[in-house]
Amino acid sequence: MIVLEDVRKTINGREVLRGISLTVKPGEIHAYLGHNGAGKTTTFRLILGLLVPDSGRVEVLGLSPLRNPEIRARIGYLPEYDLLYPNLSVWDNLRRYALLKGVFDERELRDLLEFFELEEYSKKKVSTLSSGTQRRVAMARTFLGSPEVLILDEPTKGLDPEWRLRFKRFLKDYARKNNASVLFSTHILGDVDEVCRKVTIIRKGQVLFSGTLDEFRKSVPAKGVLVKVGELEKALAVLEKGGYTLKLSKGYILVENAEPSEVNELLVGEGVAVEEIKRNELSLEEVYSMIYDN
Amino acid sequence: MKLARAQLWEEVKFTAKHIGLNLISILWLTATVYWLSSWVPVSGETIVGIASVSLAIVFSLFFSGAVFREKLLGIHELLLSLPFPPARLLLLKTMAGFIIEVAGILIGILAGFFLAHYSGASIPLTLMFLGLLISIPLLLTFTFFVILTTLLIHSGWFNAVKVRIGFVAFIVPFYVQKYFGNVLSLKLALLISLVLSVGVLIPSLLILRFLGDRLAERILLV
Repeated sequence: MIVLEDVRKTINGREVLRGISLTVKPGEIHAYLGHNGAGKTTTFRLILGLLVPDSGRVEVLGLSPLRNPEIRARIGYLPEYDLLYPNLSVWDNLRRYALLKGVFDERELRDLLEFFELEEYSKKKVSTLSSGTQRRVAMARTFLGSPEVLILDEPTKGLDPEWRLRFKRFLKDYARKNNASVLFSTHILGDVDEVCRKVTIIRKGQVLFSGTLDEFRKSVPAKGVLVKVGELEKALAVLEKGGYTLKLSKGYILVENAEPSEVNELLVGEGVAVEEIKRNELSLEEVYSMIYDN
Repeated sequence: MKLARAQLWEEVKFTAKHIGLNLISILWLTATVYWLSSWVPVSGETIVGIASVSLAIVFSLFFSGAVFREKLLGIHELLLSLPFPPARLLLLKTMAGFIIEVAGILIGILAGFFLAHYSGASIPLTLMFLGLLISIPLLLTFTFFVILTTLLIHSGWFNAVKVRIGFVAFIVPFYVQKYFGNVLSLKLALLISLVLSVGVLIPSLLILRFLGDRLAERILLV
């Protein structure tokens, strides 16, 4: 469980966080979105107890990470940059971190190497690996000790599509099996759609939106209505007469600035058989942009 | 306790690997200083006394590089997120450095002893070991101070100061003996070692006390 309550933080005279509140429950994968410089990394560092909040409350697993650094053994942190020792082998990088963290278990380490398909690279220096492979090493490091809390700063950055997919599946499975609280920042909103249950958006250190993914989608009006009808020409005439702006899209009529109920009522009233009617949902990127810009 | 030992051993191995040539320099310098100094017509106590103080300062500075490299790579953020306070991380690194220093000096003493012996001018081995004991407080406090300041200060000017201090500390054993003769007894060397140790320990503790909970933050934001 991660709890942030009205957290404020000023760094070098700039108010980076301005009253951030956030809760990530066990088993929940929570997307934390915002432009670069919005305050995401500062939030993560506060959760890890690396920064001291000016005011507000930060708790991880019921304890202050600042006063109880030992709880970091139960936190997995994947920073935006891999932060690996370039001159050490993959194995030595993971082994060193596990030993220092106090969670070294050779079998677990081998299992992680196997899952992230790093066995063939285990004796190779990290500097000789591709950026995607290095990211997988950093990912494997994050899961050492089976943490109950995961802080992932752009985890899929640099991964190829196949690994992105595999990681998302792994993460969902991990959170469910281990009842882990996962806070996840990304600029790839497709990842949010597939993995996260909740979303928080911050801008200039303030929460703009916080809620479920469904609430996130519905937080801005849909673009219009998509209708599939039997008699296309009649339907177009009726809707044009009704003063709507229309477009044809993949066998559907796109009725702009309209609600499904009013379009359905109009068409049925004029004797047009409606086969299918639905909102023209915005993509997550469009919803995000609209929330951010407004 | 077992865990701390595993962490310490890991840090010793990692540091030894990452200080590179400096690792050889510790034993090479120790051996050379004792070997060359033994040619100078001054007492063994003076040679050992001066060397034990100056070498402790030089060797402590060697550990700045490994820490600085981790900082440049940003890995210190990951180390600070380990499940213990940042002061313990500094202590872990200091202890690792100290173990390497003592091991290097011990080997260097033996090598220096044999080199001096076969050159015809010998210093008693027990005297050299007493020199190591004199070095211990300085090795600990200076290494801690160097690691702490390397993490907290990020400037070319600071690096230049460290290089100069190291150079002066290395040169001093040769010149003091040459120009001042038998100026140093072991007791005086121990006193100098303790005074210098307290001299760096006090600012180190003051920095830790002043920063308190903000130590990790300060290291991270520098």
